[in-house]
Amino acid sequence: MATLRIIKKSCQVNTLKKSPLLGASMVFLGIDGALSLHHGSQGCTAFTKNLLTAHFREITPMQTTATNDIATILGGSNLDEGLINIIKKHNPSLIAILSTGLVETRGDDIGGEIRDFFELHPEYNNLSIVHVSTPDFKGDAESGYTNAVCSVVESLIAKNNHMNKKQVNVLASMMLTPGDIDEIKEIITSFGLTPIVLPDLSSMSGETDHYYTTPEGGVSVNNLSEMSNSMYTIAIGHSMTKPAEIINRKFNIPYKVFNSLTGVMPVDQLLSFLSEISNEPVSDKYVIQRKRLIDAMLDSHFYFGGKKIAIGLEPDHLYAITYFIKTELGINIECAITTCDSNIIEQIPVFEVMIGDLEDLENNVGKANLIMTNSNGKIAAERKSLPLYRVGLPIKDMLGYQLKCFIGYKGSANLTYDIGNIFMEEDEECSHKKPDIKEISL
Amino acid sequence: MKDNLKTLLKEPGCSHNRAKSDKDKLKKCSKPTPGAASGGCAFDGAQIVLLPIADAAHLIHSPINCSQSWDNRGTRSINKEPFYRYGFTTMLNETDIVFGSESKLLSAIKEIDNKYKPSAIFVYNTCVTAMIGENIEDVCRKASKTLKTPIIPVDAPGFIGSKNLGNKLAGDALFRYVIGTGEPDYTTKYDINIIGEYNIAGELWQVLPLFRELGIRVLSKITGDSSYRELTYAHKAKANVVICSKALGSLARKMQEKYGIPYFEGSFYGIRETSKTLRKFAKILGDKNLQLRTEELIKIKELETNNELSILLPYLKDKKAFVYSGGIKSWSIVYQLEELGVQAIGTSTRKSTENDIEKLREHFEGTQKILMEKGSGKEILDILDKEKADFFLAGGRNLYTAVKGKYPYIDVNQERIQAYAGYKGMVNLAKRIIYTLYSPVFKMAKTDAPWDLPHKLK
Repeated sequence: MATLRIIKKSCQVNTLKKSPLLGASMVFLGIDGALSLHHGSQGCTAFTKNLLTAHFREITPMQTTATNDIATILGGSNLDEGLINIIKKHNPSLIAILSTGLVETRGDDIGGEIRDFFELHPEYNNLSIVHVSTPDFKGDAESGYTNAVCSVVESLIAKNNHMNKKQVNVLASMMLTPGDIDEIKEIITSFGLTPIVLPDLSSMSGETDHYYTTPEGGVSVNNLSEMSNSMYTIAIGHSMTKPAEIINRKFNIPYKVFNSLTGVMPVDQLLSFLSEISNEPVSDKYVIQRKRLIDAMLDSHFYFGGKKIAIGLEPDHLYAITYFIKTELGINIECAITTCDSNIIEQIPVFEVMIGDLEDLENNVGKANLIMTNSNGKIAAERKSLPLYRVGLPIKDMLGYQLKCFIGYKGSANLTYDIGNIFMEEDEECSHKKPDIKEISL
Repeated sequence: MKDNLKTLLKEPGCSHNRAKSDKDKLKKCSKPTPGAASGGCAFDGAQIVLLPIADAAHLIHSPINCSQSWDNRGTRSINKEPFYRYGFTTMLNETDIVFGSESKLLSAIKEIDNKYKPSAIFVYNTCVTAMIGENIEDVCRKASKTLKTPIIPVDAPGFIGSKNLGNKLAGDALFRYVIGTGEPDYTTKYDINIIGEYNIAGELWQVLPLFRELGIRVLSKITGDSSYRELTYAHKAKANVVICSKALGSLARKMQEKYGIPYFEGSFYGIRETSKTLRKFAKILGDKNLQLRTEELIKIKELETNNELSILLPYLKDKKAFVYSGGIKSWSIVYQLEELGVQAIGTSTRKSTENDIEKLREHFEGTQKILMEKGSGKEILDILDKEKADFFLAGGRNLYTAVKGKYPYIDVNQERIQAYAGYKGMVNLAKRIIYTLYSPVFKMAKTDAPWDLPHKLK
């Protein structure tokens, strides 16, 4: 439905976009014992790590080859040295080499360097190293995240070819919070199925109660190797289509993509689908939750009519939230800003989607009553005297975002109430406004 | 830039360097280890120094990774629209890199000038733009000519070195392009500059009233809560104090050489250090009357502060703390803690000058205290466990080390939102320590779940 407009300007002000390196690094925080090694100068890692640490409020392990001026000009052994150091120090279950603007501009052959490394150090032949190309100047965090998931599934090797009828793969888009991952696991498990979630970022919600140098509690490398035996792949978020296709091509596993799991219809579809593939009925719990969601929507709808929202999110996330608030809740979208081109954009139920920054969001805020974007939207919200509903990444100035759930009937009801409360307060305040005395005196 | 870098690395005003042989001088302070490095790059360091200039825009000429984490600094400003909260970037894409992006940079500068009307624009070179050979100096020169706004190139790409080198390069940009280009409306005998104080969480505002009371005019704040204009006439000051010596010591030395402004190293962390810094100013400005007034003010302020602290100190008595910070803070926080009756079991010395370390060695002489060069989270937690520390002070990177280790923690890095400078800062520090130290949360965090206590349930 939507057409895409790229805002043309030379200077981006208050970017919405985050780097592919950041997106890819997130994926490896959701794999137990994995460690990403950024091949670039140490600032690339420091900026990425700072942002993700502030967002998750957790230790976010990642490493850098700390490429300095001499190594930049002459090339050199930084990658080898970095690999050996992290293997010796942290013994990671999987290493992900992520490139940066620096080495991509230089045109490094990282694949070749990895081969050379294994030749030089046969003692590490058992170690899995994946390589993700994440140049700064191409794509955004969502595409970097997708590339990383693709690299992981590409590296998978078929195991004993024994299909497990009770096991499904779940490919989780960058838009999902740890709370969302918990919810999807719970839903799938309720049908007697066992999900393998890649990446499983529920680990980034505070469950590790001790110091760690590689992420703990995400999907294990052992479980990853079981993915080839699953009976189905469920991709959540449009950006997960490509890795689902790769799994299909490699292991002949059918897949289904759910562009969103927020709202009545999307969750209905998921539950019907799960019921079908598992041959199990939908549990009473969800029958009740669906009724509660409908009730939440009815209770709140009084405050939704005539309201408008200005929204800025990555493509997958923009689709999911916009679909629900526009199509199911009936709130209008004043402007929709995103970070990068994606096939999902044409399905977003708005007239136009702009690729731009938060300056563009501010300039196009029009008659919006609410801004929905990450916590960086604060400046625009302050300047426009509008409330900000925090969603996306980074969420730096709010506690507990990680446990928030936006999917399933339960998550959709939460979101409905959250937005309903903001608008109810606005309507209440508005009704208390005193009119001009002259106009009402007889 | 090459010549520049050489002089900066050989900085004679840096005691760290003075002690080195000629051969060592050419080596960088420390080369980061691949796979075991942490912390920011030179570009990050340059921004730390320059971003506090709040009425100037800061344009990062780079792809997205360098410019995605904007509005994340602890610096504060009275400026109405503080530009340090804004992220301006050329956000280079593939085409820009293949075909060059000097024209994009020029038009980005024009856009900012037109839309935001900043008093100046700082343009930052980064790894990618340095590698493809963008001549940002040339673009800035051209832009300065056509626009009325000063456009200043900051040549500190990330790969050139650590955050610290970036601090110095930023100081160099100020010296070469900014300082000496303006004149104040008037001058007084008591004009001074404060160098290397970034007004984190408003710390400068905790000490500025002291200068006001003494009749000392802070001419230029370099760079906490500064305006671009006040930096242009910093050369008219009668004395300089350097707060973070490792970062901007070289700037103070160059200002002494070129403009004959004497400088000294000072600190506003702790009662004794604050008083000492005030005394040094009174002395360097060479005014008997001022010296008397200073002594009087110190007496009043110290009494006031000690009174306020007297009800807090019993809660801190004999508590043990470990400090993991860098530079001046490696010793200044130790002094602060000791003034609060807290026992510092040790401190780190990363990013500290030889001078800083010498200070600590003398201070810790004859004790078993720890001087840690650089440590991982695990090493830090091991020390805390072994030495039975009660709490821990460090930069934001170690916040979650503390949380996971279940140690009370005080953030002392540049993103903090609590101010600990001057006399007032001491009272705040004491309170913040007590709040975390006595929080019931730690007791709960250390309890085992009932099912982890098998003897009780069975």
